[in-house]
Amino acid sequence: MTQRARNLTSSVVLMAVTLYWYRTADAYRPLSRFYPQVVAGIVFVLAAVLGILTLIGHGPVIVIAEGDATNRHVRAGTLMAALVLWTVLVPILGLLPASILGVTVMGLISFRGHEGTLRAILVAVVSVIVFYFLFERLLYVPFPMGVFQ
Amino acid sequence: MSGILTSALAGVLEPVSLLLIVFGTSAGIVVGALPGLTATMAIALLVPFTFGMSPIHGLVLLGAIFSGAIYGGSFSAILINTPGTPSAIATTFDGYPMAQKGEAYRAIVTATLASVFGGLVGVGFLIFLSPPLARASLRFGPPEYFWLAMFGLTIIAAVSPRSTLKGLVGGGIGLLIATVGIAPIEGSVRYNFGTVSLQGGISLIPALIGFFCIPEVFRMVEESRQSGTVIPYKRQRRMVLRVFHALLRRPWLMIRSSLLGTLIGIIPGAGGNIAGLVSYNEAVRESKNKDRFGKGAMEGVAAAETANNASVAGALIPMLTLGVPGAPPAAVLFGALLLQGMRPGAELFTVHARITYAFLFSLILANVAMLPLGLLLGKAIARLMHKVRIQTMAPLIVFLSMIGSYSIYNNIADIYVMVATGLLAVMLRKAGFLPGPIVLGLILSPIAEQGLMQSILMGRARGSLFMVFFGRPISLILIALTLLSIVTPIIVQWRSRAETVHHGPVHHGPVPVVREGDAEGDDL
Repeated sequence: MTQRARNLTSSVVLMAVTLYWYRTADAYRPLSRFYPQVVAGIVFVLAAVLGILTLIGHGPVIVIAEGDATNRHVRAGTLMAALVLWTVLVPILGLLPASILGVTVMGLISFRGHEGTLRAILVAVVSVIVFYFLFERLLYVPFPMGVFQ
Repeated sequence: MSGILTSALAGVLEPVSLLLIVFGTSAGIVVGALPGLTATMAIALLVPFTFGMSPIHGLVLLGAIFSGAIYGGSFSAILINTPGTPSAIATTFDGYPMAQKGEAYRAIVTATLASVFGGLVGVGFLIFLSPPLARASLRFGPPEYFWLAMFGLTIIAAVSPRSTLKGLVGGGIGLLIATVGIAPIEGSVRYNFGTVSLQGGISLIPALIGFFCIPEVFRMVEESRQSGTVIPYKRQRRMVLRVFHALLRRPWLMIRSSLLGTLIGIIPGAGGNIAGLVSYNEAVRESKNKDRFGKGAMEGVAAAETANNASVAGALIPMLTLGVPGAPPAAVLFGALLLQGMRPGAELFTVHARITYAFLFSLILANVAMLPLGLLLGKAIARLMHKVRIQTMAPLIVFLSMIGSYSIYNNIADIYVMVATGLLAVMLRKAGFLPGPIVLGLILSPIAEQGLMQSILMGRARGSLFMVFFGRPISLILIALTLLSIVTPIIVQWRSRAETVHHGPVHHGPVPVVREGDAEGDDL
């Protein structure tokens, strides 16, 4: 995705979100809706300016990162999916099993192609178990247990 | 007052506090030295750990990590030409060339002494400026707080000149996110999407962890970059004394860099990276022998490191006195204060004076501790930089973010908030919106809304909205500053474009490996 496409997409998405924000606020009491509507209005104008500047070729350019873009996006997409899955599994399996699974999957995505992948994942899993019991036993944090409750 | 100061000093000199200072500073140095791990991330991850500690111990630990991490960034800047934290960008300009010439140890000693000096001067300003500023904040009414928030938001534009518009939009996004929850006036429940857990609003600490830690995890995994070759070095006898004498012969450089660092740190949104770059530029501009810079000039390292460490305390001045954080790590410390039931402002220097002064004194000790710890740990840090593949930290950081967010209120909804804000930050970063301005908006929004709505009510009662908003001297000063912060970047952009057209871009020395967004006032 080019910088121009990113700017245009974010401009359109932001305008849509701020419109939603503005319209939703109509349901609130007058003094409760005033501030969010003012802020939504300002962000809407700024997003429109971003879109217009981009269309006329004067949009802001920020270098995102170097390297192979496709590979980066694939990694980012997989990582996002893994993170969401990990979060969804926490109330079902409990924090510890979900995290061991999450760390392993995320480890495979992160260390793929590097030396010592297995060892790195093992270290991460052991660290998770250590931190979990540190919090549970020493700081008395009652973590969600899920089906194991 | 002297009783409070003595009691605060006693609190810092307790064995546990001293141990936490040593541990925090050492951990901060290590975190700062490893490219990819930032001071903000370290503080955000550790805030939940400090919840169970006494306020003094918790703040002492976080302050020591903040100071240590900004200094630690100089190690990788000097030894592998990659700033460990964005604050150390300017350190690479001369630090790495010094290392290439076989003067790595001299560069490290220079960075260490300069960091200690800058840090101590900054803390000096923090201790002497904060109480009167906090007292002055008592004169602030709702209109002044509203304009203060506006100034804090528009200053984002001034400190991110390459992306003024995106900085402002980012601030606006933060303001919008903060409107979730119960309205301060009339109490409507806003934007909770039918869930009870959002009625109280977005939890600040999980949101801060999400905004600052998750994008870093993605960056680690996506870039998958191998650390550069670490330049080996040997300790040399009497080097500390030699560098100390050399710096003594440049008092103006040290004083100017400290003042610049402190002042830039005070400006909301500007952090150690900008402080280091501005101070370096000034050192070049003032030098009679400009050609030496970029090729291993010791003054370059000293200027950058003095300023970025002075900015640590500078960033805490507006945070402690007005509740407006000067830099992302200060924003996280703001959250830590709220967690301990302490609201920034005059109250910190009256009701919580013992804790506040103990925290300030601990920063002095943390800066002093950097000298032996930095020089002793140097070799081990170099080995660590060589061995640790930063990607191995990614899953563990996500796990710590999860348990950190959860354990504050033992609420699973906070994990969702952390993950949601984290993923939002990742997507926004890809679109060019950096987390710094968004978080500033998130923090300033309640101040802005309360100030705006109360001022409107005052105006209705007095029959003149105009006089409430524009008829008070402090408000007028803040309005002038707000306008200045909007106009200045436009002029700077216009002038730099004109200069580029006439002279073309100027570059000195080797190109450091700088990560995305580092030069944008993004993070520390």
